[in-house]
Amino acid sequence: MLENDARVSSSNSTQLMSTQRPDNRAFNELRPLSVRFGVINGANGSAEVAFGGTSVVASVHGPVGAKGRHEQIDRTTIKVTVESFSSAPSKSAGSFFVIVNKRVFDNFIPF
Amino acid sequence: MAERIQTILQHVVFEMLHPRSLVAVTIQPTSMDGSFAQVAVNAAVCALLDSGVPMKRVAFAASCVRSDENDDHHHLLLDPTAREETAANQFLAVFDPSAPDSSLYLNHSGRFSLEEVSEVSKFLYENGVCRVNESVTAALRQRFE
Repeated sequence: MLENDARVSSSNSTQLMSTQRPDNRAFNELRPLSVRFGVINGANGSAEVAFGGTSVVASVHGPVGAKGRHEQIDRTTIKVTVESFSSAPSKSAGSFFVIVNKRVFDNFIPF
Repeated sequence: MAERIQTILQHVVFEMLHPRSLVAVTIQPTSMDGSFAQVAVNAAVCALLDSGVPMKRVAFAASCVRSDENDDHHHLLLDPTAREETAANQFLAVFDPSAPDSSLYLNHSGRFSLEEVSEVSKFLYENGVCRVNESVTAALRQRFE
């Protein structure tokens, strides 16, 4: 059994791996998974997925007519934007994400 | 990161059905503790499922790290936290849950032999992707009941 295979090592990284995981999970175990659909009213589709302490909100807008460089005559263009976790919100983000970012900043950065 | 997710979603969305149109996917992390790529891909696919955009297949991601204690022995740690991610080689795989033999996307840092890639992919499919698929299916049923 991998879980019972305790090994002693002088390096910090292998100590982390060799005995037990810090949160007492099995090696092949996911963190508690939470999925919520429809968390953003203004989007065509949205979901919030959280694995333990990592949480992401994703939203989908479209399909809408593509213009300029996004237009492909034979297929849908998929544009993905990954907003930064710790910086100021980008100007291209929708108002919801400005609100989310503001909440994150309010929680984590003392003013 | 955005380009990688875009590549994955191009294999998921039925692109030919809506030519000359745009589907914009926005991903916003709200808390971070490791395995961000895995969570971001799964969130994007869930948002597409919720939107009703025509899809060729569903795909879910799982990630792990490999601890290198010595050449003969190593552990695979599924869904690593931020602390675990700093200590080992990482591996991300995206699978269609109904097709275990064909991965849609593989990405890793560190050295993996061909046999190890196969071993890790199987580990991620069985322990990660299938369980994510079960959870998302249950959440979808709840949403549309």
